[in-house]
Parts: sequence; structure tokens; C-alpha cells
Amino acid sequence: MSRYGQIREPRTLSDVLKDEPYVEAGEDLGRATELEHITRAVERIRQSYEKSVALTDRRRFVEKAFEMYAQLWRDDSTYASSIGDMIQHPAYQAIISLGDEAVPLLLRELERRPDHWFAVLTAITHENPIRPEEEGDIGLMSRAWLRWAEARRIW
Amino acid sequence: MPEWPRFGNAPISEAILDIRVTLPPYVEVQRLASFQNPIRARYPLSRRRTALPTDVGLREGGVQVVPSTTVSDGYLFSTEDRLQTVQVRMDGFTFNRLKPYDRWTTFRDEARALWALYREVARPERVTRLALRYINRIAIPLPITDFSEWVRTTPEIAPGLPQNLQSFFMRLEIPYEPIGGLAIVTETIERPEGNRLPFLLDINVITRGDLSTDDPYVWDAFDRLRDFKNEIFFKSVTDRAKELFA
Repeated sequence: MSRYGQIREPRTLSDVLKDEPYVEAGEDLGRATELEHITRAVERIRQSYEKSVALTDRRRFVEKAFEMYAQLWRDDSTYASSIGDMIQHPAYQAIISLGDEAVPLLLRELERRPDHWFAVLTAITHENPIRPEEEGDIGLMSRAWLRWAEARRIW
Repeated sequence: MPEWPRFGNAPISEAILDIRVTLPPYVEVQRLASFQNPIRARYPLSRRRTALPTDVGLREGGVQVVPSTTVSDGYLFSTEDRLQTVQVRMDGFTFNRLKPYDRWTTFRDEARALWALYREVARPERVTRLALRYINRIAIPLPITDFSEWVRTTPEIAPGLPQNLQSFFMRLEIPYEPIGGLAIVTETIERPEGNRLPFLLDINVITRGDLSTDDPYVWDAFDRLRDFKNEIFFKSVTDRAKELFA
């Protein structure tokens, strides 16, 4: 168990969709089909989020939306030519718009598989704890954010 | 009122007390922001209740983000440790308590004081629905040979079929005439955490009506809903499970 929750193996989009109980997800979803599934699943998640008054449910719905966006971004950014392209991706921008509730999820991601989540964290928190000498090293940049979170007791 | 056992390590991950109302037409959502003024010292954190802000989908052949147009329906105010939150909305009032949960009287009395404040600010005309929901997360030690050693209401697989269960989601709706209520009981399991399997026993008890907002029945009804909820909980878990909460 990590400080930020259970460490899970990297999941495929199909795995994420399989957890959405009302979405039928096949093993070999084509790209367009995946996006249609995501669109429908996010809409359902959004409706449930709006209706629910339980904090547990709302957190779960945000987590589910985050996982879908994150997987979509990972899939598309694998061959991105620049970090600029990666952070302009619509799914990345969607994560920014999830706001504060996405921060613990982003930190968990940085802990288990560091990636370019720094711009989204800065966009949400308006902070940047990365020192100049750490720039360019994903591991060091991730650790800088985890230290930042620890100092603020964000889990 | 029956006496219920109290556990030192109760499995309650969230307790929710919810009152749905009809507000007068002149009340607007901005007015609800002032609810925080007298409780700011204890509930300093504030957030608007909004929809998930974006949608992602296929638009004009590519992936696009579509901003949500849903407007806020109220506010959430939380304690510094975020363990308690009060929600004030155009359709009602909710008090949430996350683990650790102390006891019913502490929970109810805080909700009652906050409800009095909501009445002052929002001037609700009628109460239309009362609900009490307890989300229990029971960490069952693995391996499990039979769920019924821990929980008394379990899904049953027909004899002759493989009896292994990888996951399940079970929802029961149980009407209860004595209080004119309905219980929605949901059971499911989460991914194992180490050598434990988190089992969710989610009990939501609801009663509907058309009540005056100062009706003492509102709080009597919550006491009865709580008894009904406890009845379900204590009859749903085995003595072996109760040992986990001691």
C-alpha cells in the first residue's frame, strides 16, 4: 500500500471501461468505439455526480472521469512530438477542469508512474515546487511535487 | 428507543443525513452562500456544488472537450480536516461525516444545529423527503471460503455452477410499513487491498412526505430511520464480522 492508496498495475482503456457497470467493453475496442464509450460513460458519470449527495460517490465519479481522461491522454500522447502538444490534448485540458478534486489523483499517478502531469498540477494549484536544476528529469520533478504534497498533508 | 452496540472501530466510511425541501420562489442560489457566515470558524472550506465541468467526446471527427453548461445548485462547506461537510442546495440540505464516526447523537445533533441555520437562510416551505445513508466498508480477511461467514445477505449462485465469485453488485429495495419508509441496500466488493477484501454494505433509508419544516416529526423520523438502518446492519453482518469492528 502506498501513501496515496493501493498501487495498481497500469490499466488499459478497456480495463477502465469494464469498471463502469453500464458500459459494455470488449477486449478489442476500436478507437472510435472507445471514444463513443467514453462519451456515454462520462455523461452517465456526470449525471450521477450531479445527483449524488454522498462525498464518497462524488469522489468515485471524479476518479472514474479522471481515469478515462488520463488513459485517453496516455494513449494519444505516446507519439506526441512535444510536451506542448501533450498538454494541449483535450483530455489533458479536461483534467485541468476537474479542479482541486483531481490533485490527489494526479499525485497518486506521479507516485506510481511519473509522467508529464506537472502543467496540470500547476494550472490547478497555481504553484510550481520544481527547482530549476530538477527541470527535465521526470523522476526529480515528480518527487518535487510529492514533497510539496507531503508538506501540505495532501494525500 | 432500542439500545444498539457501539463499536470502537465502526466500519462506517461515510454517514449522510439528507433533507429535501421546497424553497420559496424568491430564494436564489447566491443567498445560500451566507449560510457559512456564522459557522466559518468551524467550516472554513467552501466550494460551489457544480457539475463535472467537461465532457470529452467525438465532435466533428476528432476528440474535443465540451465545457459543461450546468450551473451551481448550492455550496459545500467543510471542516479544516474535511471530515465533516454540510451541503446547502436549492433542493435541500445534507450533512456528511467521514470516518471516524463517533456516535448517532453527536452526528444528529450537529446536523440538527446546521439544519436550524439552513431554515433561517433558505426559508424552506416544506420538507418532502428524509434520508439517512451509511456507507460501511468492511475489510474482510482473505482468503474467503464463504461470504456467509461474514455477511448474511449474499448473492447465491445456482447449485451445479462454479461457485467462485470474482465480483458482484447487489441492490435490494426493502419497503418498511411501520415508518412508511424504504431501505435501499447495496452490496458490492472492491479490489483486494493486501490480504483484505473491502466489502461495501451501503444502507440508505428513506421516507417521503409533506411536512412542515419545524415539525418535531422530522427528528423523530430520523431516530426511527436510524433504528431501521441499524436493524438492517446488525442483522446483515455475522458475529465474526462484528469482531472486526471491536
